[in-house]
Amino acid sequence: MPTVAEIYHALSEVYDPELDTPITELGFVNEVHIAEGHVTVIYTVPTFWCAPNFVFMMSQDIRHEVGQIPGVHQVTVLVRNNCLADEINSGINTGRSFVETFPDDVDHQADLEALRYTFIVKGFLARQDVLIRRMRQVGLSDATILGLRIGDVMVAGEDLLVQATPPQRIPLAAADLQRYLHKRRRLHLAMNVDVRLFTTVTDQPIAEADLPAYLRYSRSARLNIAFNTSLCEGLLRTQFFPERQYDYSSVGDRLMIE
Amino acid sequence: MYRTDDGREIFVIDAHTHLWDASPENQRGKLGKGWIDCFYAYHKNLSPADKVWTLEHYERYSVTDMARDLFVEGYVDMCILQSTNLFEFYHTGFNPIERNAQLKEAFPERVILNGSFDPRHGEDGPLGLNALRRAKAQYDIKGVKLYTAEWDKGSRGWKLSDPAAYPFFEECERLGITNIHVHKGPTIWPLDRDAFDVADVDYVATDFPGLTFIVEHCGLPRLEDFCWIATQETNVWGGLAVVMPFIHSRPRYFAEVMANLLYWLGPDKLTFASDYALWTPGWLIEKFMAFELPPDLEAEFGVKLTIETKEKILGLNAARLYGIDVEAKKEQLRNMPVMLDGATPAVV
Repeated sequence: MPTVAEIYHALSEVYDPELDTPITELGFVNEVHIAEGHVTVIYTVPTFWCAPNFVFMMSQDIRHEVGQIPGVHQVTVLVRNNCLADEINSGINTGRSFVETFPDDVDHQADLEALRYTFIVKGFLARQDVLIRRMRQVGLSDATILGLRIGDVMVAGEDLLVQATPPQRIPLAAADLQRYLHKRRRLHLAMNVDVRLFTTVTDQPIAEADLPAYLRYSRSARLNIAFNTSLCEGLLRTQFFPERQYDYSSVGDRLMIE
Repeated sequence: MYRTDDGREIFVIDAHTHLWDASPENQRGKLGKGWIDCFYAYHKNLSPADKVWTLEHYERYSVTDMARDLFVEGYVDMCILQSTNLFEFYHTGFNPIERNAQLKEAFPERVILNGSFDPRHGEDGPLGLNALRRAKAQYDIKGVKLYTAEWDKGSRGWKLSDPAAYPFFEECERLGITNIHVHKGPTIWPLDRDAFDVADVDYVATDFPGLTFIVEHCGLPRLEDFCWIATQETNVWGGLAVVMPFIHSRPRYFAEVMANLLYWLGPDKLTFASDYALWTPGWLIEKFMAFELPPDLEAEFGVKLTIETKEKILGLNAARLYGIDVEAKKEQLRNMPVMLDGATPAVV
C-alpha cells in the first residue's frame, strides 16, 4: 500500500502553473486518504475565481503524479473553493480532458500545453534572473557570468562555489542554482557540464550587449510571479488559516533580491 | 485634498470606486456569495487590522458611508465610479450605473460616473449599444468600465478584440466616451489563451488611437505583459487598484512594482485608485505620501518617486483624462462642504 510520504512526494511535483511553485509549498493540499490502492487528494485554491484552466491543470497533474506511484490503482482528486469546482471534479475523476469537460467554452483546436509552456518560460526567466543577480551581487562581471559552463558552478552546503578568477563563494545561493537547473531539465535544455549555464529558453547563447534588455523583461516576470504568489498565499490564509492572517511571509520572497 | 506638512495641497482623484450591493438578498446563489467572499478576502488580507470592516457592512454600505470614507476621511476630492454589472451573480446587479448614480446625485461636483457595455448584448440588450447611447444622454458619461470575465447566458468571457466589440468602440469615439477602463478577470473562453491575458488591449489600442485604455490593477496578475504593451502604446495607461494596498503588507513588493511601472510607463500614465470598497482611500494615501522608493531600486531602474510624481498619480493624471480644471475644481470644492445625511457640514 502506498504511504502518505510517497503521496506528498508525488504532490511536490505538481505546480501551480502560474506561480511556478509546488502546491505542497503553497499550502493548497488539505487531505490525503489512502484506502488500499485508492488515493483521494483534496485541495483548496485561494479564490473562488482562480482561473479554471489552471485549476484543471493542477487536478490533472495530481491525478497523473499520484497515479504513477506503485500500488496506486485509482486516484480521486477533489478541488474546493472554485466557481467551476463541480465541473472540474467530475471531469477529472472520469478521465475527461479539458475540452471534453468544457465543450461549450473552448476552442476545439486548442490544448492546455501551449498555455502551460508560456508559464514555464516565465518561471525559467524568473529563476535565471535570481541566479544572475546573486552572481552580480558578489561582483562577478557580466562577461564572466555569461561565460560560465554548468561545470563551473558547484554546491557547497547552502552556498554556491563559482570557478572564476578568483573563485567566488556566493552565500545561500545553492537553492537558487538548483531551482534554475530544475527548470532547465524540465524544458529539456542541455545539462552537460561543458554547456553554458545561462542561455535563452531555446538554449541560445545570450550576448553581453543584449543582457540588459533581456534582464529588464526577466525582472518584471520575476516580480510578477512573486507578487501573485504572495497575494494567493495571503488570500488562502485569510479564508482558511485565520491564525496566519497577518503572516505576510511568502515563498515568493525567494524571488525578491535586494 | 491632502495637505503636506509644508502646506502643499495635493488634489486627489480616486479613479476606481464602486457603490455596490452584494447583500445576501441580492445574491443569486453561490456565484454572488463567491464573488463577495473573494473580495472580502482581498479586503481583509491587505488592509491594516484597524481598517477591516465586518462582512455585513462590506456587503452593503450606504451613500453616506461612501461619502464619509472618501470625501471626509479619505482626502478624496473626486472619485470615478466604475460600473460593474454582474447580473448573473446579483439580482439587481453588483454596482450597475443606476446604483452608482445615487452617489453622483448626492455629490454631483465630486463624482465622475462611468458606464459600461457588453458586446454580447448587441444593439438592444441591457448593456448594448442603445443602452450606451442612453447612458451618454442621461449622465453624459466620458468613460466606461469593461469587465471581460462577466458571465452572460452561458458565455464566460469576451475579448476586447472580438469583432462584436468594434462597433462599441466606434460608438464610444463618436459619443466622446474616450476613457476605457479595462478590468481583466478570469475569462474561461477560449482555453488556449491565458485567462488574464492582456494582449487584446494591444489590438484595440492600436485600432482606436482616439481612446485611452486604462488597464486596472496594471494588468496584474500579468504585470510584465502589461508593461510591455503600455510601453509600445501611448494610449495604454495603468490603474493602481490592488497594487496600492501592498504598500502596507509588503512594501518591498509595492516598491518594486512602482519602480517597474515608472520605468516602463513613466509618471504620466498612472492613476491612483483605492478600488473602494475593496479598500478605503485614507490610509492608502497617507502611506503613499510617506513612501520613499528604496535607493537600490532608484539606482537600478533610474527612476524617482518625487512629490511631483505622487501628485500626478494621485490626481493630475486622471484630471487630464477627464478634462478637469484642477485649480477651478479646488476653488469650487473649497466653498462646498460635504453634507452627510443633511447633517452639519463636515470639515474636509
